[in-house]
Amino acid sequence: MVFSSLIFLYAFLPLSMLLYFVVPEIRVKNLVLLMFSLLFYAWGEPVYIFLMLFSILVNYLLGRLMEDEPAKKKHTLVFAVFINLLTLGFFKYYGFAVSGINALFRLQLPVRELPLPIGISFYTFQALSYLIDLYRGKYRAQKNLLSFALYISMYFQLIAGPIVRYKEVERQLTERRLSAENLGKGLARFVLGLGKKVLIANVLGALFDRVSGMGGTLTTASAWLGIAAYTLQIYFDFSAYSDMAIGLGKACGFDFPENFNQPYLSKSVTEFWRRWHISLGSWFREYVYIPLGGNRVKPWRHVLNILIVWALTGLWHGADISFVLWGLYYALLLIFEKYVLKKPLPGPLKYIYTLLAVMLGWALFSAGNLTEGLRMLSSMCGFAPGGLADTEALYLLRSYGAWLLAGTVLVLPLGMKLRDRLLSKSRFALAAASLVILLLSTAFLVTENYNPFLYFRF
Amino acid sequence: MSSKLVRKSVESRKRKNLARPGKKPGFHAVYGVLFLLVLFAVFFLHIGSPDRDYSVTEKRALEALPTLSFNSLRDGSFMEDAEEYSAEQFPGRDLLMRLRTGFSYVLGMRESNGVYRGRSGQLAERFDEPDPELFEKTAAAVKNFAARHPSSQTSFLLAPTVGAVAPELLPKDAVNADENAYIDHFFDSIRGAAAPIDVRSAFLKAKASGTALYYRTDHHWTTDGAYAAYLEASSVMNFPARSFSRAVVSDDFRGSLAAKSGFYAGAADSIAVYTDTDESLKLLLKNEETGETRASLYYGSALDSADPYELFFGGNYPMLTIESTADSDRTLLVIKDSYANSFLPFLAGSYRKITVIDPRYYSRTVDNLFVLENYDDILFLYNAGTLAKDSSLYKVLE
Repeated sequence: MVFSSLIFLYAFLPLSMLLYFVVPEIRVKNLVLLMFSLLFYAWGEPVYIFLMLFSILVNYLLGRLMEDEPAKKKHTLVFAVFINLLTLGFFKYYGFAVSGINALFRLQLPVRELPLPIGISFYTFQALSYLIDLYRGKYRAQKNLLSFALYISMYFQLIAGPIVRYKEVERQLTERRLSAENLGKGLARFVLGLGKKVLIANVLGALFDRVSGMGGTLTTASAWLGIAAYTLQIYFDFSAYSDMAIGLGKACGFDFPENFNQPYLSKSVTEFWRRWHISLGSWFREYVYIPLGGNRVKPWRHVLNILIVWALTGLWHGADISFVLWGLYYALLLIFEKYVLKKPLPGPLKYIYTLLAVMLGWALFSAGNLTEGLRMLSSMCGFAPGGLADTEALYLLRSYGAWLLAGTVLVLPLGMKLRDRLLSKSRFALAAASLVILLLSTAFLVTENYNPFLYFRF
Repeated sequence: MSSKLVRKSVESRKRKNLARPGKKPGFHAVYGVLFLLVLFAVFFLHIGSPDRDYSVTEKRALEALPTLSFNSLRDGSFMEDAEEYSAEQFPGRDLLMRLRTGFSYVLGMRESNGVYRGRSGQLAERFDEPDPELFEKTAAAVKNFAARHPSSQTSFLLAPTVGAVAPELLPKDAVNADENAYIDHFFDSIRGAAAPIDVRSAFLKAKASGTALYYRTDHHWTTDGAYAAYLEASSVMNFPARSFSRAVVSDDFRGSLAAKSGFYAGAADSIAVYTDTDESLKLLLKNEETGETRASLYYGSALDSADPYELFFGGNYPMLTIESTADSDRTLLVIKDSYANSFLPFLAGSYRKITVIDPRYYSRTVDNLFVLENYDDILFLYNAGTLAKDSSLYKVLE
């Protein structure tokens, strides 16, 4: 199930909230939440739900084992990392790896494409963070299977993040603030996220899809329009999922970490990645980059560390060479900024450079494969099959200009101010905005069949 | 409202709040509860409102409540059907659709569900680049069919849609494949086997004199458009044009494009009917599907129904026959789409018998009809928008 669906909005959400608040004790509330989370996941993955349950059970037992057998702690951790990465690798990278081996050694091994279990990258990373920090002695193992299952499968962040680390919610699993006040604040955050996703991201996504579907008629102007649309779409889509997850969590008494912090206002690519999908960046920093030595090593080793971390980050986003290259592209930019640039560019140049770098990255990323990505990039550079511009680009600009403009205004500081005002001060504006967003989102969901889930490759 | 740790149990928290008289719940508390109430209200409205089998405005069957089974759960089809069901049976769906297109229109969007909303409220279906393979199949099938029946005179009326005749009514810079090139290409491909009836220059003339050839809210030509095409057909097919009297029978027609797109702004269309001035002409319409016979080609009751265009022949059927007391011994076979529905009444007085086949609903082979009788004339009548996407014509001609 996804948040931006009528069944979620008008059946799952009210029923789960009602039941959650009606039952008395925290343990029962946890049980209710777990049941709804499993239903939420099974709705989209009726078969792979068993894979997730298996993952929960195995990681729970490994956690217990680690604590009960401190002498073999290290072996257990190595085994745990191995089994988690094996599962992830099998379901996500098997086809990619086999075709890679085929290409490398000119073999004809059969490539079996398994459908990727939704959210597997998110929940596997959560489980790994639990076990690694347990090994590091940051907390005791979770003895309650129900609590552990809830940590892994909580439907708020299950399929599109943020990646919540166990230490961030350990206490909240058994003690958390529940109040009607938080319910309201959480739902307000949720509805703003819903609007971002349905009223902005989906519409701009349709523009991007139209542009990327252009064959010989693609012009440079259309390519830029398409990538501008995608740049806004992925932010409004992804950050909206985080908004909705954080909002729903808050409504139920959880405090999840923020996942996006105005990334398009960054003054460098380094800063961009501190503001974009923060929970993924910090996961790689804490569990890969720093264990590799981080920057406290010789420069050549530091460069190597960056390359490793970013190749993996790229790969995390999808099993295709274009995602690895997309990751390495960022590695090069980061190395360039650390060793050549050293401090941000002057004036507005720093914003333009960062945004441009990010947009070119999205051109490669959004294609999902190398051929398409390069075609889009070369079209943006003036080598489009349809020439520089045509009336279609004008038509698209007229049709989608208002959304592009609205999206741009909302990523500026003004948009943030508006959001903060709505969420804290202007009460009646919030009530009115919520009703309008709910009504319009419903109108769009009822009749628009274009409602993509962008993270099916994560 | 103050928040407390849950450990202290919800009950005690509630008691504590109740015990503090005069403490009003905060804004967000009220907001949260009201928000959930709104969601619940819609939930019960959805459950409580009766399901519709058919959408009157969209003219299509709607998803019914799916049935639960192990298999439909395992392969996820139950969930998909349930999502579709929730959207299609959503209370106020038609209004919500209009809200969405209206909102988008204000923001500059001139397109919805493949339909353009052009200047002066003209709606027009987008004409997509035709599939070359389908084009070849269809053209070859028509040519071979005509060659197999050399004793019949075959004509093809490929009607342009509004975008080809009045492109200035489309939104500025709207992207449309070249429909005129498609029509030219098609006529070139069948020339020699079937006589092309090209109505475009006649239409441009009629347009210049102010005739409304197309509905604004529907994808069909108006009866006036059909009449202009009839005059053109009479010269190619060699029958004298008859005289008719025109009467408007409805002036609040909202057609298929308004329904499909949700664009409702602007005035409704009117529907005109042409009656043969020869009052002695008698007709017998037989629906070979239902067996129903009647003395008129019109279904006046349809004017008050969901689809007033069913005024003509009551809709589209696999096979109809029209017999008349016309002073003619010629027979005609028409293979057509719905553009023919308002066109055929003009022909009724010129042929003793007309057999009408709609390949989209006809599952047999048209050649078999020739076992029983021969036709003096064969007329194909399609609009370019339908023919470019139609994969049923070449199948019935095989």
